[in-house]
Amino acid sequence: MLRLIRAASILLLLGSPASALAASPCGQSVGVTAEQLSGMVDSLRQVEAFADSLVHDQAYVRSRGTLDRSLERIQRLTRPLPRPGLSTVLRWNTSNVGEGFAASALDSDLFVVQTFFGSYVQPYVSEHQDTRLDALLDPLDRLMDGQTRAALASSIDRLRHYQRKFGKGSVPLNWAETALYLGVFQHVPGFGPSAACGPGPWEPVAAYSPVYATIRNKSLVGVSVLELGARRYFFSEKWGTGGVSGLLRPAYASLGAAMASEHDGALENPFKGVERWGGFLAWGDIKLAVVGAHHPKLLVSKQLQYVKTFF
Amino acid sequence: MDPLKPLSQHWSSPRALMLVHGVGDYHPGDYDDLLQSLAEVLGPELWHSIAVYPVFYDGINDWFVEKTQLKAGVQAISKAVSDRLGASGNSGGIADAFSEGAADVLWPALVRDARLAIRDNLIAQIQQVVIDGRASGIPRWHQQITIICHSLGCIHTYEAIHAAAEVPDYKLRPVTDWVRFANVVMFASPVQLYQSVALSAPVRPFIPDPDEMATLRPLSMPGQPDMSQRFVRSVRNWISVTGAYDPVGGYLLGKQLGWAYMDIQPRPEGFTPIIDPQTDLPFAKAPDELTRVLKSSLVGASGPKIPLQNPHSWTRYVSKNPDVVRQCFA
Repeated sequence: MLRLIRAASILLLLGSPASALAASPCGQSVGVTAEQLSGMVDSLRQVEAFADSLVHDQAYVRSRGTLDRSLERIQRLTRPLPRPGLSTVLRWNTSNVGEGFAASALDSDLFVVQTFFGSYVQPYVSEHQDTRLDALLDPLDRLMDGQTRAALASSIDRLRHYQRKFGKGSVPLNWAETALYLGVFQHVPGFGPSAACGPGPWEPVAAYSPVYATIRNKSLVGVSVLELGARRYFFSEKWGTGGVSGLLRPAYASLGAAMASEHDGALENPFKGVERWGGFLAWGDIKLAVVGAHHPKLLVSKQLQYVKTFF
Repeated sequence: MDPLKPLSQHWSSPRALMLVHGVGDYHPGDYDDLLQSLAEVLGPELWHSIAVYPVFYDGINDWFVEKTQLKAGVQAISKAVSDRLGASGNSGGIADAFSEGAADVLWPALVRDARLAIRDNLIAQIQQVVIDGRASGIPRWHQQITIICHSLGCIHTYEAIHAAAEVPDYKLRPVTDWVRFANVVMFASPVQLYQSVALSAPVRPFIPDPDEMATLRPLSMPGQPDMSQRFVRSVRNWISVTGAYDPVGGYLLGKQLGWAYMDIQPRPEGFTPIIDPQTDLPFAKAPDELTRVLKSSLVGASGPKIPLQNPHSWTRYVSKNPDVVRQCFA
């Protein structure tokens, strides 16, 4: 069944010459139609002739050959492809065919086209008012507009993720967590940021939570817990919206080991006496922990930094 | 200002101007004095033809200040700056006042997320500027985008224009993406100061991945090689103006501090450093007055309200260097 679905999707992709330009792993793709590409190639063929009249060195001759091959490949991509039979498709490997492959090839050829005209024609048109050349270059400019818009959308996405992880509503880091994050974890993939993808979704948890609550002898008592683990931020726009849906889809969750002292009590030293070990799980601001191997005890708390910078 | 919503507007001419502020908690309205000064220098007709984009990034700084506990790192930076100024033979008062401001300037270097988020904020605004120009019918090769920045804003601008030239995902390269800045004007740039302090022995251990920051590499003109391997610079005209009494720009009481003054060596085509002599200021005769003035202006929220008699005032730089501004829009 899965192979049939895969084959059907490949057939759909092959039948559609319109494509999406490849984006970086975290970037947004750019929609481009066959008509756009075809019109652009026709226009650029005329600009190419103009460039020939401007530049005559050896490097240009080599670049010109590279450009011709790229324009030819782009032109080929805009022609409808024959639909292969189902049996043929089932034997193909998706890594060799399909949208990703076409988009990546198109991206490389467009890089050549943009760079060629950016190298040899841009200096002229930026210094002269030539309405004919401006018009001929317009399809290329429109294509670059699509790329810039997609890049802007990616920039905004990254900023939204930074805001989720570091802005108002995120969990403040205490001294220990800040030191761990800056000293170690900001360099670890998944925790630290990258220029293309923005922040990593994870951050370390090393906190003393003094007011977990539990029931003992039918009355509510406090328990102090040391938490060691990691917190994950959910960057999807559907998560972390607050309200009732925010309870189901919070902005963050955390998981790790929990340690409590031998005796219950708020503001207890967790290292005092025979420690009770267990684990904690936080879903948004609601935290649950279980400690003690022989007489496991369920603890409940709320995410809050009780003393700023400390815990 | 919501950092997730870059300012967008129609252009009535091929000219656009981005303004990037320095240290201080800028809000809408805080650019008013500067805008008035620019309008006076350029004249109303030219001024109204320019699409102006004031940038606000301090909200992003606030995310990281609230989230992390950075005082220890900031104090180390403060001390490093203070020690260097002290070693230059300056009064302790000036060193202390200046180091407080410098710490505000330098702390984003400590957190990679902060530096990349502020860079993304500027990059997003530049991308929006290019898109607005195109939506107004200006081909990107006729767009004349100018950035004027001040103080800390020069560091963020320096980072942004280098990242624009180097990171393919931003789609702002001068050759492949046809985005070139007509002018970048830096007033009181602390780029060299930032580099010297961040790479000094007491601070260097606190700076993660210094190579990620253009300001911490040898200073250079941003650009991209074209298909003939000729270097095409991202900025056609780059001017750095520093006052002779402005320590943020690397001058203290008329004396240049080699470790803090921004210059690019060997000097690339298109880069022009200018010294504003600031001879109308009283500090040559009353050096102690500089301590008081610096203390009143370098720290925190007083940034946008720096008085005109202050050698670091952005508005003063514009009104005293009208030719620098006019040549950008000639």
